[in-house]
Amino acid sequence: MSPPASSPLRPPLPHPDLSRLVRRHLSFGWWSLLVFLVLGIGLEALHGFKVPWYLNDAYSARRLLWTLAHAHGVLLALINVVFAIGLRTFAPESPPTRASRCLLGASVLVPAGFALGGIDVRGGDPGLGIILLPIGAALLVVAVFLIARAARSDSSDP
Amino acid sequence: MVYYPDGAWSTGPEVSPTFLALAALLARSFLGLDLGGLGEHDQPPTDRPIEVTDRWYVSSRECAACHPGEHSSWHRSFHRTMTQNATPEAVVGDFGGIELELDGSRYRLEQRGDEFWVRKHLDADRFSDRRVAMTTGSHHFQCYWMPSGRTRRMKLFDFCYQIAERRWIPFRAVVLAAPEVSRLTGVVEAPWNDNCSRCHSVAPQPRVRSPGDMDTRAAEFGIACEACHGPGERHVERNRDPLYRYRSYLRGEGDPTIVNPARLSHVGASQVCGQCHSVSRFVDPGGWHDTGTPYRPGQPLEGALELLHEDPPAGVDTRFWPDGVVRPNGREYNSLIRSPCFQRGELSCLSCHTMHQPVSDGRPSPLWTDDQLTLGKQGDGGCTQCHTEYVDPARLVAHTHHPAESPGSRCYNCHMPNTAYGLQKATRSHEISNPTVAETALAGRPNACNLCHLDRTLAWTNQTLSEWYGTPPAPLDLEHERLATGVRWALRGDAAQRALTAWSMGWEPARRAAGTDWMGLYLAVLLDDPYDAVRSIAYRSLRTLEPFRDFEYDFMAAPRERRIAARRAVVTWAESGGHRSSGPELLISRPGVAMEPTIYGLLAHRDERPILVVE
Repeated sequence: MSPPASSPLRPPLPHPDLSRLVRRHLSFGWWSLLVFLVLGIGLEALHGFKVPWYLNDAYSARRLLWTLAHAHGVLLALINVVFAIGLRTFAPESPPTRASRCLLGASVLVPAGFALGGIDVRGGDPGLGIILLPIGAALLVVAVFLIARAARSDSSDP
Repeated sequence: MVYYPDGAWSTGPEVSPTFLALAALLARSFLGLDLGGLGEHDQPPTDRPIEVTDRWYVSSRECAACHPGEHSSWHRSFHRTMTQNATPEAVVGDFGGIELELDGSRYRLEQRGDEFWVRKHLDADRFSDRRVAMTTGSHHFQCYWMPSGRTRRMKLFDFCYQIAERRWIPFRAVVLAAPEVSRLTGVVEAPWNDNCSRCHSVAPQPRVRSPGDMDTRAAEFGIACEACHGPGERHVERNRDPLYRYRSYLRGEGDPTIVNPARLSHVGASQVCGQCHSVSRFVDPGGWHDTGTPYRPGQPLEGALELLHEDPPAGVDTRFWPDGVVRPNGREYNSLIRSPCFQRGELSCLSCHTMHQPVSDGRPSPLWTDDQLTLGKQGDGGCTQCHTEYVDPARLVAHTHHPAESPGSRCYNCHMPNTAYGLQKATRSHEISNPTVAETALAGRPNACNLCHLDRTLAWTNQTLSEWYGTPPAPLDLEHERLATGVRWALRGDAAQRALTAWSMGWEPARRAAGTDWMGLYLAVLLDDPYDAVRSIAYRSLRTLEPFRDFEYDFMAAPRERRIAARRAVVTWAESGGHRSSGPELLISRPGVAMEPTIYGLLAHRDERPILVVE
């Protein structure tokens, strides 16, 4: 007896849109991970060479923001990879295009907001680039909500 | 009131002690947290001044979050440490069982845990113990304050710690004061509360109820953010709104809820510094004793303080040279506003000094904290930002008549000579002026030429200034005509002239200009000066001369021992080799042979006018 069409045990369907989504998130995730790992090495180098415009107390906000950009970039890159694996594993009937777009947008905007905000710091405040952050955060919330809802409906299917 | 772990109190949100104790108990019982012994601090100490943030002050703790760079550079500055609670981090003096003696009183200094104690021996069996509560300074000296036992009134410990020399010296040797003068004026007895607090804390309130009864408090100890920027409560509240902050950034106009001295006029900016760096008195002394200074940064200084321009007609000469130039270090505002660069130009304190070392200033921090000069303004850069013509070496040499790279071509050596005294050293006058012979012949103030050319007479200076600049010669008496200025100041000058001369003899530009082989004689004579500070400075300069590198001397020794040491030094000078200088103006008949009868004859007519110069 074959498993139900929506079962998680069912092998992935060769739906062209879904395959494209999987490839897009896998590709974005791994390349993004590479970028933010390199950024992390760059930040370590700034520590190593005691660069004043990164380590001076006057730029503690820059240090914090770029560290957050690195951390969020890496985390979101991994989420993209996990998302792609999830898509391939659970293979929903309709590709979650909106969730995918929101997740990709958030994966760009959140670390970019932190990174750009850290360029032109004003005392304890980030520069205007930080405006990207709340937009990215909102997209991330929407993406997670859509994925959670889809996972719930998938798992509740008989 | 709310207690902060560093010892400050706030009248901010009132939280009942019962609530705090309960919260501490719950935290300790269920979360294993130690909240710093909240219950132990539910009442402020009663025997010393306290920090209370009220009257719209918030303290530097609030500033650090949004202004980390400015907070950090201020934290490294000596402004911060002008008053500190006496914690192990703050105290630099040696309290390791040190025994001290002064005027028959014996003291023992001890550290007990995190506390510092002074034991005064009353007689063979009796003593009194006092805990050190606060400190002043951390640059050249650190002085210590102890509860007087009467309310929050503080008493200064008789000794201060000389940081570079790692030794304790009497406070009266830090200032320029004869022992009898310091006793007469009670300078050692002046309490922190209604005297030093004025400039060594933020928004002090002496709250003097009687001379012995003071309930003193301050918004913050030390010279912190709000001393220059004004009370910050409204600024903090308003800037919690991010839209308000970014509007300020985008407009670039600054924030009207706080004072930024850099955005004030050159007069207003200088007045912010002048609230402390001036010789002045309160317009309303009663108001000061009760509620503290009415001055707030950005407001006219005249409403709160009246600047003084001369010493009282009778009494001790303290704060001014006879021509009205300020004598103590740290009182530069009076001098600045008499300068043409301030009156006709836009010179302000901030033209040369910066209170926050920028990141672009790559100097090691100690190079900046020493005098907080802006990078590039340490040398002629301060002057050539307006007097651009002297950037050209040819124009400079034509003006100075000295080689371009020599000390004689440095603007400040001629126009800001070292005629101020403070903390056992000479510092620059901030009254920017041209050197004249008259200021020395008539007012006694050493002129810039002879502070280097100590071996020259005023007649020589008269002639030189006349030839170079057409300055009319000043009338001179016979001594001024015939004696080298360094010799005359050392033998016949008042205590301030002697202190400056002794210091200048250790100053490299003067040593290069005047030669050093004759200086040992006069520094040796000054080892027996009646003023503690003059002896100490003379010994410091003397030790830089080759024959005296290992010369043993204690400037606080008994008068007879000092006299013997001075004589020994004169003999050492005479017997040392390398003498070249001689002449009647130096009172040296031939190299290495002093005209001693004349020298001691002049010394007998030393200017004994009592001098008291307190920074």
